[in-house]
Amino acid sequence: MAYLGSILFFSVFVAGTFFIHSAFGAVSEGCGLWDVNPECDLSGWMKLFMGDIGVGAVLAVLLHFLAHRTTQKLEQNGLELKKNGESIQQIIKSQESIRKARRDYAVQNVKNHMTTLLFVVGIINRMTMNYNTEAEQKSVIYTKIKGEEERMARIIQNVRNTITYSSDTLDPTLVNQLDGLCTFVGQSSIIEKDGKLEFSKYEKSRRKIDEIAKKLSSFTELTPVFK
Amino acid sequence: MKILGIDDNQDLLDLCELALASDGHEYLGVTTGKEGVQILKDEQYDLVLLDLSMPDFSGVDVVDALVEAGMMTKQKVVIFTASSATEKEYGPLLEKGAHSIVKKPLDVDDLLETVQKIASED
Repeated sequence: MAYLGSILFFSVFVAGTFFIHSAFGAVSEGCGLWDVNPECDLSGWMKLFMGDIGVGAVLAVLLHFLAHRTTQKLEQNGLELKKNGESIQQIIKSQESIRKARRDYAVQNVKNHMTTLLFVVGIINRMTMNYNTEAEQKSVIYTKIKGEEERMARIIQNVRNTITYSSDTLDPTLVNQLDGLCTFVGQSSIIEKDGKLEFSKYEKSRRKIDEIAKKLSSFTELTPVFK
Repeated sequence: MKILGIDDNQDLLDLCELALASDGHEYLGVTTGKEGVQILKDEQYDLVLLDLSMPDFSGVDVVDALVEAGMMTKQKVVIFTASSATEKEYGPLLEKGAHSIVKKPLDVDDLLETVQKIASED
């Protein structure tokens, strides 16, 4: 309904301006309808053509100019948008490659730590067995065991640091498992019982480290997933 | 046995030394491939425990350097590699004269067993 009203109003306005010239613009005596000279008034039709068409032409030029400028601006904006899109894509790409590099580094690093950790728990276990069977140099062996325990604690801290640094790039399940392993192995201290040392959590620690190491090994550049 | 360990992981070298020395072997560990090649040129070793993945001068480079110097058969070279490594990756090393491939992770018992087995071959 609103459209109809607007169209009706516009039609009446245009028709009014169009016909008003012919209605009130009388042709001077001795002058033709299309005469243009100093002695004749312009006829209604001539006023219509010379006035409205002139104004129309000026308006048309103006509108064309405005439309052209708007199109140019739109095109410019489109180009800028395209450029921005490309830049965003490049940023996303570089961020993704950095993320991949961090993930690969973290996996490689934790793999190395797992190998060392597996070795160190094995060494500690062997040393406790030596301590229990040897009659002499018990204090020397005990000091060595403490030294290896310190090494183990340092390796565990390194694993924790690695998973903290790259937790956003690793599978959350793996991060949790690694964290649990660090806690478990970190608590695997040697207990002294009746003059003998006992590394009771050795087998379980070994198995847990082995499991995680296998899980990490299933991760390759070609298949970047943890099975 | 006189054993040379080449691995960029110093902790692992120390632990290997502890394990192998306690088992009666003479062990030296170095952290770079270049250093390892130089030592092998200067001294005779029975066994080399070589890590494949090392920065700058990898295990493959060490094998290539030994092949080039005609020293690959002077000692047995055991390659330590990640368990995700494929035969395509380590196969050429065996063809070049490496004794065997041992996949990581391995524990102390596995290492001593491997060394014992190699020692008993002689």
